[in-house]
Amino acid sequence: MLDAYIYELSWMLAALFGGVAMGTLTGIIPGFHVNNVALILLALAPGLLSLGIPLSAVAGIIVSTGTVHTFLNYIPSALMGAPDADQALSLLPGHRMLLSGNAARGVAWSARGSQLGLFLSLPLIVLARIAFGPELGWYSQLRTFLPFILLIISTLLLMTETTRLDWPKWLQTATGKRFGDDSRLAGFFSATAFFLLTGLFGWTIIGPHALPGRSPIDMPGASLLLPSLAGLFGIANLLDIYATTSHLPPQKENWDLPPAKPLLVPCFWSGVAGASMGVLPGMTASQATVLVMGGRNVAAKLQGKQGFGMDWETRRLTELSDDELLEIAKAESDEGVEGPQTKQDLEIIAILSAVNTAVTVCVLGFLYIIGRSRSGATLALKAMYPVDTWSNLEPTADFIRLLAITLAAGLMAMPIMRYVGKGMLRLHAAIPLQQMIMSVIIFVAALVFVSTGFIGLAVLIVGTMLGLLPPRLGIRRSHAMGVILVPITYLLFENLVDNAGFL
Amino acid sequence: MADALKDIMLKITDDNPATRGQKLWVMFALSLFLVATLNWYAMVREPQVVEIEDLVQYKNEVVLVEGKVISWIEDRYGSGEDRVDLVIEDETGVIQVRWYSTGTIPPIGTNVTAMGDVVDYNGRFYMQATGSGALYWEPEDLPTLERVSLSDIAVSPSDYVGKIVTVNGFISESVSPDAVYTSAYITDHPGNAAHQLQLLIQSATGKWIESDSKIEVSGILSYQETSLRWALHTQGPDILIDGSHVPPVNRLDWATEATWSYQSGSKVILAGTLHIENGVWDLVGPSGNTICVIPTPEDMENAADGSYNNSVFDAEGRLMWSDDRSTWCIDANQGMGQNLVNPMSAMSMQAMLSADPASMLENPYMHYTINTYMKYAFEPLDTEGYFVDSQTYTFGQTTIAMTFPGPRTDWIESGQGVIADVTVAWDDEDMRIRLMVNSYNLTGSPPPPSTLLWDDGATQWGYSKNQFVLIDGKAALKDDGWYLERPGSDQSIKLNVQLNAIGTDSIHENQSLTWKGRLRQIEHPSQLSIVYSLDEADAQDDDGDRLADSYEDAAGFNSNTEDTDGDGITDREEVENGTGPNSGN
Repeated sequence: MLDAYIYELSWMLAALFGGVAMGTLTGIIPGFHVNNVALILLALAPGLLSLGIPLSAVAGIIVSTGTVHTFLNYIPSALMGAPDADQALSLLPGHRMLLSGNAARGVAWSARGSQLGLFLSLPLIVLARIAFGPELGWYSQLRTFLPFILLIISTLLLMTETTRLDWPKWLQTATGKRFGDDSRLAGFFSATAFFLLTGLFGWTIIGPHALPGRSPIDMPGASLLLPSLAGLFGIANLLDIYATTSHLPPQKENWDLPPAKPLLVPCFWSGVAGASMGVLPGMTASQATVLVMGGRNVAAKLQGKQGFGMDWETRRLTELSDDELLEIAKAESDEGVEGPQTKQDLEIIAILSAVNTAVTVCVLGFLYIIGRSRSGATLALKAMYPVDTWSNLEPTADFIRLLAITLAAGLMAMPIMRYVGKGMLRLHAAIPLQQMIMSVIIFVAALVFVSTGFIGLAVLIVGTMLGLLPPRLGIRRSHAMGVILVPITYLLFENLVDNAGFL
Repeated sequence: MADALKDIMLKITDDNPATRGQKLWVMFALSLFLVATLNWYAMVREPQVVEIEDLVQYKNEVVLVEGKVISWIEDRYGSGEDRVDLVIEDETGVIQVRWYSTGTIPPIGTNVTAMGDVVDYNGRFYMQATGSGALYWEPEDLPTLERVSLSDIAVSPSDYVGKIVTVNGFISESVSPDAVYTSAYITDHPGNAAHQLQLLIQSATGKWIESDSKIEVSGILSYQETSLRWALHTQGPDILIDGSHVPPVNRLDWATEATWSYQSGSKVILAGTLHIENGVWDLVGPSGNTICVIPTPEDMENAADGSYNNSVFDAEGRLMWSDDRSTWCIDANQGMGQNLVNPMSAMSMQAMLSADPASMLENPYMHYTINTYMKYAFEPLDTEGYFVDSQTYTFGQTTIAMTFPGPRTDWIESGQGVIADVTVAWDDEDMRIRLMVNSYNLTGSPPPPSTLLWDDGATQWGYSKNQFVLIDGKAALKDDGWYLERPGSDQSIKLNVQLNAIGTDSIHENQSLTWKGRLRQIEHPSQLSIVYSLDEADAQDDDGDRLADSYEDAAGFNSNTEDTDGDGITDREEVENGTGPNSGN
């Protein structure tokens, strides 16, 4: 009995440490996602099993890798400006932190946010079990309305947009200034056009006639989602930084964690929004954050609040340009104070990290509650591992084991984040930013080629081209999630129509 | 290079309002063009030739597969759809190709190239091909046939596994033109055959094939692990009929109505008295049994003067089941009458289920008419049981689980013929396919009760449970009711005699008689044991004169008539009056 317990525990610990090491690696390498690790482990699973490694340990590695990855993936976002899809929104505040010499503060706040997201996700899983479990069965009801929900959320995200584009004079005149500067209508129009364009792009990746992505070295799990997202969110952004940033200011080494209490409420509600959207296919933490921040803006507006931080991207409320915001951040930094602007940026970083981590943990819960995978990692788990759905009062032993590994990995990720952050900052100081960015671009392109071949490279280039558009149109880059949302929504609607017998 | 890239980026990011709008339009148009190009390429690219085992990596992609056709079914669900489901095999595996808007269908064994989308539906992979050009082959890809006899196959069937063979013989049953999936036997002689091989006909023949027709058939031999027998997989069009051999038309017998279903779809003749009422033709047998007759227009013309009505008539036509009247009909129109079906046998149903269970389960609303028998006696409250393909037990009998729509008021006996409208469902509890009976009709009579001997042993008694049986014994009244005792021993079973039973009246008291009843197992009323009982029991009395057959035989009466001496006084009255069996003479 004791032998069996120690055997199980040993494998759990081995999976935990193995996953933490791998998560650290995937977290700091831009463009390398936990999904890649999961898919590689999925392909290796039969071999690992024949070596005597139990599948439960492989599952543990995937879960702990995913958890540590969500903690650490802010670091390349903030220190090198190379976010992945989940971190795309934190670019502006994170990048501002970097340019104002406050990158270490960003990392610390992100760590605190991830930590809160991790712990706050536990009650969310219980709530999700009650709501989506067999007793209430909300998920089965939700499925009927899924395409409509996706459509409504997408529309909401598009309607919150305001453009900074100077539209041609004749168009401004013709539309009675409706298409002028800071126009919501123009923003909606631009964002919708971009959203549909990325949707058409997504059709070649996940549509019925998808392009074939083949690894020249037969790497398993080749998916064109990697190059498309890397192009839309990663490379495009790196190119912008490459062109606009020549040098970095010296960074202050202030790694103190912020107090948790003020962040509890916003992180919790962001976690709720993130978890709620995590149950939907194609929705990510970034869209959840847009909705949460949009809600905060509306609430602030209703309360008559003005000034900093009501909206970190549009100028309708702040009336400040990005350059002006950066100047304020720099000034605050020079004065050695964390003014309202800096605090707002740091809060956004913390909230986004909290959502990111909460979604990762909740997605694991969804796998066991509704039996659906909502991320590459859980997809690999489902394909590799017999998932015993949590349908009784008590959660399954397997789920508890994976949840325990998740919590332990999260706790270990906190100090790792600090050390890795310091190391990355030193790397920054040693290597010029533009060389570093070029190295990252070359690395990501090589990774794309190795995993998906020439077609992957073509998708990366087109994705980069598309990814350069949002800042120039004055809209959020997160609308590029149309790459997943548009095809999924269309296919769901087609399925709905087909079920009704029209097709 | 770095500077060049920076220059390009600076030009792109140039914030000059005078030129930015135009640049944006150019960027947007260029992006749109690139995305459209990717989509166009995804649609028109030349598909890759893929091995079947690798198809799982090509989900949602259009690919080419090269392999041998090992089976195909045209219009699987009989819905009139232009669709052929083929199974293609290469050295690495097999894949189903669902081919829509089809062209010429290749013979089995042809090496073909198929082009289609790789579809993953709930973990099931198949290819979806559209258009006549989606499947192509060259003349040299057609299979070479090996001609063998049934006795060759019987000697060493494994020598022919996977080969395309051509066999001559006689087909055991009729095959209707539109039957999508049929199972029959090919034998080396009509009637008493020395060899027989199961034929799995996987597509419609397009013509009637009469039972006992001489045929030449080409197909692939394989071992059926579900039914533990060898079978030849073939397609309807691959069955050639030898016109020089005309199969005889079977004459039906009113006394063997229970076995008429064996002739389902065959040409038959039956003599009886014809009744025509309101244009409805019925043939009536000597004991009042009827069968419907569907006349030809010519027959109706000839009968217009009323001369046919109530005349003895030889009805000749195809034996079909009428959905309208829920009875067998002799259709003089070659089975083309309205609402007539040639019900599928249990063996065909099982073969169809074995061949492609998943597709049948995917269509839970598809209805099939099945001609079958009850395997076990079915209690009124029973809803789950088994169908079999013959009235009495035979080696290799096909058994399919089924569920009735609900409880009934009467028993259904073992071996009772049933024509049922069924759908196919998956039974989660038992992890098996189950037929859901939507409606049913009992046809013919159940087999007569079998004789059970006291020495037959527990196994035989166990098999006879719930069935009507005949047991010799003497009824004895004990404290807790009647028992049937074995004379000269202490063996006995409980007797639950029916109302007004003759076996326990004063005439039959203390006599050893043949008893008839339903053998049941019950808890002993006082002891802690399970005992046999004979329910609905009474002494056997075939002529219904209320004298047991055993008594009549012993006393010199004829047990087949109720008035042995024909004096107008029944045999029972003779006994009660103290007169003898020949008192009238």
